[in-house]
Amino acid sequence: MTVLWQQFSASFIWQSYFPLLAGVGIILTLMTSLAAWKYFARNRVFYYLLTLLYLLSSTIVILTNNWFLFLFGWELVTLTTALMLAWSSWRLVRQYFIIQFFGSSILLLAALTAISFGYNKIGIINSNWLQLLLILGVAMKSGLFLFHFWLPPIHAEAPAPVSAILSGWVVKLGYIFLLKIIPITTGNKFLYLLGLLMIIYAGWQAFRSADLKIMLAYSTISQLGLIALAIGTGGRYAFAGAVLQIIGHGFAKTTLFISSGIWQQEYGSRIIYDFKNAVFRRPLTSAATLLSFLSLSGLVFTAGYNSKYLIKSAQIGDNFAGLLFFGLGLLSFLYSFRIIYWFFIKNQNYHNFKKNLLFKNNNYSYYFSDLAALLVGSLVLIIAAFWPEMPGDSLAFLAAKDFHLLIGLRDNLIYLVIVGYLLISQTGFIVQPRTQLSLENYLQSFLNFSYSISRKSIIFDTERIFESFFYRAIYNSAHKLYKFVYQDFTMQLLWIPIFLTIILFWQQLYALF
Amino acid sequence: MDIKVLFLILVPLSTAFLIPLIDLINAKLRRFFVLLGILLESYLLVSIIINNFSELKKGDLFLQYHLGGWQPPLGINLVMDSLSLIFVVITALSLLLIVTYSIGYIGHHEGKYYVLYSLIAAASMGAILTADLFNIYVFIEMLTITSGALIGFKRSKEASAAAIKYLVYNILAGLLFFLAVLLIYFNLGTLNMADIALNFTTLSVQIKLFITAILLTSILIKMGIFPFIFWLPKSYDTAPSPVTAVLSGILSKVYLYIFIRIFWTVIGFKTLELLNLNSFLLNLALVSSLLGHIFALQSNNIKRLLAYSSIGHIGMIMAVIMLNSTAGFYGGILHIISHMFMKAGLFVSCGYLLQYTRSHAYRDFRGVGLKNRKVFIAFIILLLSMIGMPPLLGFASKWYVLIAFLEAQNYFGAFIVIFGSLTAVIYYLRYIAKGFEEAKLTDTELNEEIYSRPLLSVLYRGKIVSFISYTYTAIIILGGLSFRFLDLPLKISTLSVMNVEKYIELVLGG
Repeated sequence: MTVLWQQFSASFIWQSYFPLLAGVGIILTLMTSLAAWKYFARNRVFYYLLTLLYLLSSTIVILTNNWFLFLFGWELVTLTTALMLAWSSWRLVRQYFIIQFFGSSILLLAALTAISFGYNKIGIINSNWLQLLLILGVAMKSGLFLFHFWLPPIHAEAPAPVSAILSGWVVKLGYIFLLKIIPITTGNKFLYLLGLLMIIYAGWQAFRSADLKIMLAYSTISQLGLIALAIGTGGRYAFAGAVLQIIGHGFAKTTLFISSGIWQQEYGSRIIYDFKNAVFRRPLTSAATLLSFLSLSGLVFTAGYNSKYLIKSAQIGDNFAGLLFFGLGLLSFLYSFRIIYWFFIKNQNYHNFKKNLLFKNNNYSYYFSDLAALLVGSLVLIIAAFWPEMPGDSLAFLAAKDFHLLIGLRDNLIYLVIVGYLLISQTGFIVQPRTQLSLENYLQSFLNFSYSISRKSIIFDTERIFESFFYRAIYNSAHKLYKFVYQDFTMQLLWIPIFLTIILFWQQLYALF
Repeated sequence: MDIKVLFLILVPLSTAFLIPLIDLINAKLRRFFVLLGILLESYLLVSIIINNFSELKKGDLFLQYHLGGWQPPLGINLVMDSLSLIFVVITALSLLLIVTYSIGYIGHHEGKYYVLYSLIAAASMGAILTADLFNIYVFIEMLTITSGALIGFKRSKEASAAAIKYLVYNILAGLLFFLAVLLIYFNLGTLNMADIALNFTTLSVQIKLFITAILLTSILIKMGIFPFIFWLPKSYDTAPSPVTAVLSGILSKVYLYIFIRIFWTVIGFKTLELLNLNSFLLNLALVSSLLGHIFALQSNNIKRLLAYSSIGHIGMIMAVIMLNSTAGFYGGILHIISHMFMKAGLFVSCGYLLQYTRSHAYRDFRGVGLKNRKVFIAFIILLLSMIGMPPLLGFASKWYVLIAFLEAQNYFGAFIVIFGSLTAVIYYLRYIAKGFEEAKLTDTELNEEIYSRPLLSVLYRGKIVSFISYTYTAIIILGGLSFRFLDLPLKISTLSVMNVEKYIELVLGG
């Protein structure tokens, strides 16, 4: 036991950014637990126990450099967060758990390979393909491109505090792990490309959605892509940018998901076209939402700007990278300001501002815990915006860094003009809300596709999947082998001379090997 | 010199030839006569064990009988050591149980059936007890002919086809065995197993290789290892249930015994190692086991499924024996015992369960468990034992097999053991679920069921049949609870396999 304890305590990394990130994780968990106090009426004690377990295990995952503790802690994180989804529905728990389990088995394989290649502790990994294997290992859990398919349905359907946990912190554990293993000098080209694809694809999807939570989930993928891109770039400033992005996006997204829960209670809907007079109904929640969206868009004087600027400044090959980043910034501006447009500008009546403000016509009453959570989030966002060097030594070099605020201001003004023109001329890009975005539908469409090739149709049924699909698959493959081995009787008898010959010439065959 | 060893063979042999005479007096007497024969045999065995109990405990049981008073290198002699004793005991117990079952099950052509059955009993006893290579060949041929006739016992088209296939394979195997015996005789001038074992190393490598190859091919055909598994499922399927129980429970174990005898005592494991065949055979047996389990997954016929699972288990036993370690023999012989009772019990209870169904197919298995609830529960317990559930005998034997593989660091073997259990869960659960499904018969199906029955439609004495199924289940449960009592016989038989020099010395010197 004492040996175990010594190993446990010796395996923590107290240098670099990881203690800072662990602290951020603790504050985020505090925010979500404040928000959960009124959100969950039933089995509240159980929820808080799960949160405590989640907090412990996620802190271990961030801080440890021991493979076993890392995998064990992450499994525990998966288990606790999966159980938290039970407040929404057990179907969601099952889906989430299966997907995460699949991801962790790849990760386990990758970790075992790394261990067998002599990397006894989690640290810089030099071999390129081993990096690739580990990136694939975390891909499912952290929603890297092509493995992100589960993220929007599950994050959108989860209860608001739980989606805040998932989207704000759990998906980032993978990137924190990548910060540990990717060499800071070289980066990783593959990760860079994946990040780029994620930013563009998910940003476009976020722009094309009408449902607030689905939009938030897609913007999560887009912002995660920026982290992946930063880690893939390599270099001191890019890594610092990734850390700042993890922190800033963590707070912004947690605040947004908490407030999305409040908005949903207030309006009874998640479609952004329904949000009328938001400022009068809930001024504080509106302020927090606005601030977080501005940070997501990367406006100057917000936390989002700092990280994006750092990542941009680390790029080599000026002209093309500059143009690319200009486009990416425009995309994030577009989807953030579209929501802001629907929330605060379109169809709003700002006459008699003070009178309307005092008139309380809320459907969902104010709770201190919700407001406290939002307040913490907004405060940290403001602090992170003006104090990018953060407590601790790891990011202290940023104090001397010039953030080129004037250039940022110029770019932002250009963005604002383009975005404002587009939004007003197209009246806010109205799109139909996606109906039934769920993993069953994905699976159904996949099955439809695969069966359309064989011109058969099948109706997807979760209960019968074992019987009709799983067992049939086993049966058919076994039967194929059977057909292969069982030829006609002469062939069967022919085995006797073949076998005799093999044995008689076995010495020669054996010498060959 | 112990005449009782000779009587172990003579009693069933004379039963077989006296049955036609008994028929002349009274046809009903013949059932009791057969039972009497097997009971007499059991009495002989018990008296042998009691008389030699002190030697048995020390592990140096050795009885032999010289036929005609000729001394070993010249004449034929019968030998019983610890290994043959354990095989004789379990074979006799199985023979007793299955003959009782047959009295309840076989309703027509009883005279022929019991003649053939007694001949099988005599031949299997003889093949286990004899110490003469040519004599083994004679008994193997006896087993082949009689069991071939029994496989075709239903006289349907499929049964005849299966019997012909069985005979083609097994007579070819017998021919190869005979060739090997001839070669050994021309090269060494002796047929006594101990004498051959003493002189076999003096032969040149080419002749050694040729003899080994022929013997291996013939015995692998008889056991049903991979390239020669094709005759097995068909004949297990079409034979009547007691015959299948004999084939799977007794014959395959007798051939395993002959395999051990020839390749450890006569030819010697060192020869196999010299020819680099040991690892080849080990992996071949494991592949055969893998294929057996995979084929069982796709089987839509309960008896064929059990046959494929037999292939899987026999391959596993052969592989664990091929490890040539004490743990390997311990696990292998324990699994031989447990598989003997499990498989025979399964076929026996299958015979009861399938009495009213149209065929052995999966779709006709529906509702079987609801009609015969008690026997079906016994059937399920036997299946669980095949899978390897803890309190049953199957678990203990699989455990020791697994330990033997792990001890030899053969991870492919360990994987096969686990894989076999897992696939067994899949293919058995399917049948258990089907057995509890509610059966709704339409009129046409009912008509078909009534008119399509073969000769064996009615069980003449159903109570005996179900009683034997329960007995097998009880053996499995009790064996699982008290498999520690098998520790002593397993240890002494393992010792007698590994200690070849003692066998040679005792046969030639005594």
